[in-house]
Amino acid sequence: MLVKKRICLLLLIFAIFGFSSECLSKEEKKTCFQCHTAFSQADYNSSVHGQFTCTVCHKGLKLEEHIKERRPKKDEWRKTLNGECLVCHDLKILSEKPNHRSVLNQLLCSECHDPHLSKPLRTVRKSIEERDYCLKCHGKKGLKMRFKNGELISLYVDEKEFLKSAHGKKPCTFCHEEFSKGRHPRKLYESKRDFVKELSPKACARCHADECRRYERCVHGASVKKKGIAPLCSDCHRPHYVRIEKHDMELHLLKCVECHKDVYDAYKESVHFKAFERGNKNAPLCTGCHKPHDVLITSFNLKNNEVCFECHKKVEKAHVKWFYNPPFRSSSFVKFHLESITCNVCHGTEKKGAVYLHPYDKRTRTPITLEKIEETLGVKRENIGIYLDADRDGYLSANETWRLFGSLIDRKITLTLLGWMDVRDPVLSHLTEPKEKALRNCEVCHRADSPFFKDAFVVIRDNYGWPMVFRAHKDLLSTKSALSPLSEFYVFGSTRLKIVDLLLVIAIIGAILVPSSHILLRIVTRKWRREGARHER
Amino acid sequence: MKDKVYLHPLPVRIWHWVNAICFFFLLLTGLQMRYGDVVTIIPFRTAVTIHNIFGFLLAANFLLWAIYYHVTGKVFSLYIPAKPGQIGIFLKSLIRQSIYYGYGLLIGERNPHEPKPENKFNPLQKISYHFVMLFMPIQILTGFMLWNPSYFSRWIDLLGGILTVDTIHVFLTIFYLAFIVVHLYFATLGPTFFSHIKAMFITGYEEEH
Repeated sequence: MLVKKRICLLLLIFAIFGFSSECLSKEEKKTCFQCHTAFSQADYNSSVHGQFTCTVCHKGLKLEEHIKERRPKKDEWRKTLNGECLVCHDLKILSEKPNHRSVLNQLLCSECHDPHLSKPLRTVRKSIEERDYCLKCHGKKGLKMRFKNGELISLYVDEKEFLKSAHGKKPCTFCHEEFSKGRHPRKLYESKRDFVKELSPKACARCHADECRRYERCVHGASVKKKGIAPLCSDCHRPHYVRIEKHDMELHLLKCVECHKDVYDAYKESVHFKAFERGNKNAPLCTGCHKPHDVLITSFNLKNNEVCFECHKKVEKAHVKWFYNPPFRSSSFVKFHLESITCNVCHGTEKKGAVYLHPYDKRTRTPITLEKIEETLGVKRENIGIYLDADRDGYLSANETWRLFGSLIDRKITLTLLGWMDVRDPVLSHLTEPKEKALRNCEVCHRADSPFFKDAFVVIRDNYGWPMVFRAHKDLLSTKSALSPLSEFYVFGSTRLKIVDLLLVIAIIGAILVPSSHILLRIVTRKWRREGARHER
Repeated sequence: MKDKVYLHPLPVRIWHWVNAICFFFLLLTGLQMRYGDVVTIIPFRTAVTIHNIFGFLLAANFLLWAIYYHVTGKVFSLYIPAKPGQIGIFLKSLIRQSIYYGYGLLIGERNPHEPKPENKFNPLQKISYHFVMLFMPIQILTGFMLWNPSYFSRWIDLLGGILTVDTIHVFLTIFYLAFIVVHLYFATLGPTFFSHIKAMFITGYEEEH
């Protein structure tokens, strides 16, 4: 066996030397270096290919002809020579290595490996930084990856830009932990989304744990959990070029517009965007209001206005100039309204609102969540809708709410529905108008026929804040059943109880009937009184 | 000429008519604010402004009344229907007075109650004015709470919520509305149609029956 191997080796050496005997000989290598001075012969000799003469790769060269012959174009020349690499480096073996497999059809060998100066792999790995090692391939613009579904992405990393980024000081394997200078597993993904999902937010959480935790609770994170199309970390932040720039329009606006085009169409007409265009750096872009990692469903939210107050700090003073309950100006009266109406009900372009009722435990002042209903009433999540809307008419009526109130009070939970006036169209609500156009008409709300009270909703959230929304029957706001669950929600003139109205009518009729019947009796009995008076005389 | 008794001193008459004007505007504007969808005579904001101004005036007027009648001790003789041991006697007189208005007055009998400055109200007046004045602080306080719910939020919570506060306020409004209609009618049941009104408005002297 050993004898056979030796014979093979001898035959190989003979073949190499025999092949080159027609062309330039080994001794004539010096001749090449007389003209080709880009690197020294000593450097070449110490390279991985140093043992070979030039003509092992550069075949068919004859000195006299080589000087005279027309030079081929560089690219063509490199392509031709690429085939020579594959004479020794077997294509099949290379294909099995993931780092080569993905680039074989895209890059020439010489784009990553310098054919004249390449050092043995072990030496290379030891001698250079990890990032430089990765960038040997990933620093090439043509490097791409194709997914099973046909999507193609670039694997190129611009080293200069990367170094300038917030992640520039981190080694590649800090995020790409499965990879190293000695390890490059072959990965196959169905789609770009699958590829991104593997890293984001898992890899990001190593440093940005707080942001990732909040992200997982926000609408985007929750949507991802439900296999939605919401953005992952790297959809907004380009991981290799991430920058911390507060007023980066690309990050804080345009990224959002990719999905929320309709919102952008409304927002770009708003006072906020116009102020931003005028150069006001305090004007909010999307992330100014929707905290980037805490993007919550703003509709149906009891704390909608807090985000506005972050900038509009003197909002109470600004309103109290005209918005007060006479005869005294009181900021607490303004506050009362600001605590129950979304700013854009009056300041948005829509000028329409709807009532959103939030169930709370009156004793503990904590929200009654879907989980709490599941736990206390033993109703499965998917049956909560049917449980609450017992008559299945699509509305939560006063009786149905009263029934819920009764069921919860048996379990020591006092249901109270906290009311909130919010916008009806969440998209249009982004078009905040100048204050001159704001709604200043009290009757808009304070009338029983107010369009703002036409639609009412009951919003029950889960522990993550995701809402289950029920349409509320209008009688919920105006019948005696509402007296307990709705004791904390009342809008003067709009949500009056019908039974009180009835009592008023009875009282007026009674008050008129008593004197008028007495008058009638006095008229009828006039004769008796006259006779009585005559007798007295 | 019949004897006259000085029942209504000038400060009491002023207090009464200020109260009357306040109630008149409060009721009208209150109903306008509440039933703006049914009929609109004056704009909501104007109605609110008038309601609030007269509400504060009523509160101040009530305060004057409370101080005066408590300091003088007259609140007990005039507005407390009966001492604990005399409830039976009071009830009898209340029935007698009711029979008078329901029957005696019709056949020309004399009013069983002889008004005197220290006992000027008949039992029916006494019981009704008692409740009118007893409910007044509740009406005023619930009015304050509705005027600025944020400022009085603790009081509102104590009462069980803003809807409860409003319901109390409106219930009492209904009571006062019914009272005023009946009160106005009884004011015409003097010796002549205007004699009680004249006494309360100008002279202060009531004719003895």
